[in-house]
Amino acid sequence: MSVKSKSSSPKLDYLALATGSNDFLDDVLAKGVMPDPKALAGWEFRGFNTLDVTLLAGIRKFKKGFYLDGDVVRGYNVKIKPGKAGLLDPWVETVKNGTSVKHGWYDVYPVRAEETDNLYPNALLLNYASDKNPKFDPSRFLRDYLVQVDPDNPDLLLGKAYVALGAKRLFVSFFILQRANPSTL
Amino acid sequence: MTKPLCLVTGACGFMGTHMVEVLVEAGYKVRATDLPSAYPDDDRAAGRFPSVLRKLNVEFIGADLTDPDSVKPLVKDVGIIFHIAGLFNYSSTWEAYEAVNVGGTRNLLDAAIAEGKLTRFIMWGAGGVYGVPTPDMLPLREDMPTNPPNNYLKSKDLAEKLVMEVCEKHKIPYAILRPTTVYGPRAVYGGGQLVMGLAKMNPLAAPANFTGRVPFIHVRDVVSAALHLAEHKGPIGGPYNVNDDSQMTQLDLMRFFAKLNGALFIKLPPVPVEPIKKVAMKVAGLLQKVMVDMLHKKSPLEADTIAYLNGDFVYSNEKLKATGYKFIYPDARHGLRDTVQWYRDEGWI
Repeated sequence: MSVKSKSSSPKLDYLALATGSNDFLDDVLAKGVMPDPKALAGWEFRGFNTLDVTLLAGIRKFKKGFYLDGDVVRGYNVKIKPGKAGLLDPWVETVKNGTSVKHGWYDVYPVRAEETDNLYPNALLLNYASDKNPKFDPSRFLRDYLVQVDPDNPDLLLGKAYVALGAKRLFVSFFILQRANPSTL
Repeated sequence: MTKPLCLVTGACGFMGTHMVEVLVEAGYKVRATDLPSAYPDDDRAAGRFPSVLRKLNVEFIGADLTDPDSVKPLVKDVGIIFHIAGLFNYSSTWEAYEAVNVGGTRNLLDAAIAEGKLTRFIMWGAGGVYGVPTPDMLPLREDMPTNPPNNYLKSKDLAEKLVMEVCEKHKIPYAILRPTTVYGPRAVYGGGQLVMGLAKMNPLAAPANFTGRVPFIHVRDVVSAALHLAEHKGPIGGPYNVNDDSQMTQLDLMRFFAKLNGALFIKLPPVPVEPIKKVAMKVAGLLQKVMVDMLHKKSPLEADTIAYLNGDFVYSNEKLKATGYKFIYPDARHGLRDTVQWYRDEGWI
């Protein structure tokens, strides 16, 4: 007989999420609540992709920003220097012409049952099929689901990224977001 | 009510300095003891940090526990003893282990009982006394028979039995802590070696069949559990496993450190563990002979450490929890992260 787990539930914080297994994160995502999109606007969050390949691609760490465009919430990604990709290392932004490099723009809205991207009805969808991205930018194929893991903590979010290939959706990586600083847009 | 005077043995070491810190924070008057040679200066290689005691301004009496005469002044007016001092070095001889870990404990108990003020005796045993477990033994519980696999653990096992016998005979409430892999700030040997080694690795790799679980406990939890048992109003007695709630496999551990370090993690194909262990233990045995017997130095690779390779260790901590103890670091990941940060801040890695 082997005892697999009698341990208490791990504390849901950035470290536990960033080092959690996909099964664990799937469970957390399913139990998460939808973040208030308006409460995201005006802020940047430091992000961490859990998939190991993202380390080789230099995109393990990133920032995601959110802003209000009229009544609509939209967002963007901020490039982080790939050299120090550990959880204990700081998030250092890539700067060009004195400002952080922003890319991968997306629209933010609650998951809509009638759309293809409706896997997690409790999540916000970050839809990169946005006109703000160049026409042939591969980021246009990305779709992220985003939940708040703790109803009482709007600063910690869990995301799950997919690539949209026609009607097919391919899982890419989980990512963790933690509120970091006001938007630099 | 005035708090009793506490004696901490092995006070200059990794565990001892943390014990003294926790006692001082809790408002106890502390008498610290260690070998006289341990007190003058910090010696990281030897794991001695007397500067911590000096900063806390605690009384220090140098003593060698193997010498009964030098033990007597230590126990004067002492109500609680936290007996940490011990020889923990897989390269030592049985004679040395017996003299320090068993003989030293006997001398301390004899002197304290003769003094007549002892109300609690908290002793550091070892989580390894159960031996390398088979799956049907898990989780390891305190009421299981011990089966110490090496001289260090045999000496701790004997010392545990001595404490049980003497304390029960004299009706002194006592507790024997059985900490597992202890890590935390200032850890140099054992868990410290493991954490510092992993925190420097890039890339990290582990075979897919390294699914044995690694037990962990943060030093702050060990000393806080010791104080908790010393203050516990209910009955205490016998051994207590001191191990956190996390049950990380060796693969999980490697993956965790890869993310902490920003390093690549490579999952290797399964390997035949037992033949590798046999070869590695032979190599380590030879190396130990050369290093210890000929060069009189500690071996960097010890056969007794290799014996734990891919062992599956799950400890029950229910007995400790039943006394009301709440872990500071129930999940090793948080403690390991804080410890690596400490090593980085202090320039140790």
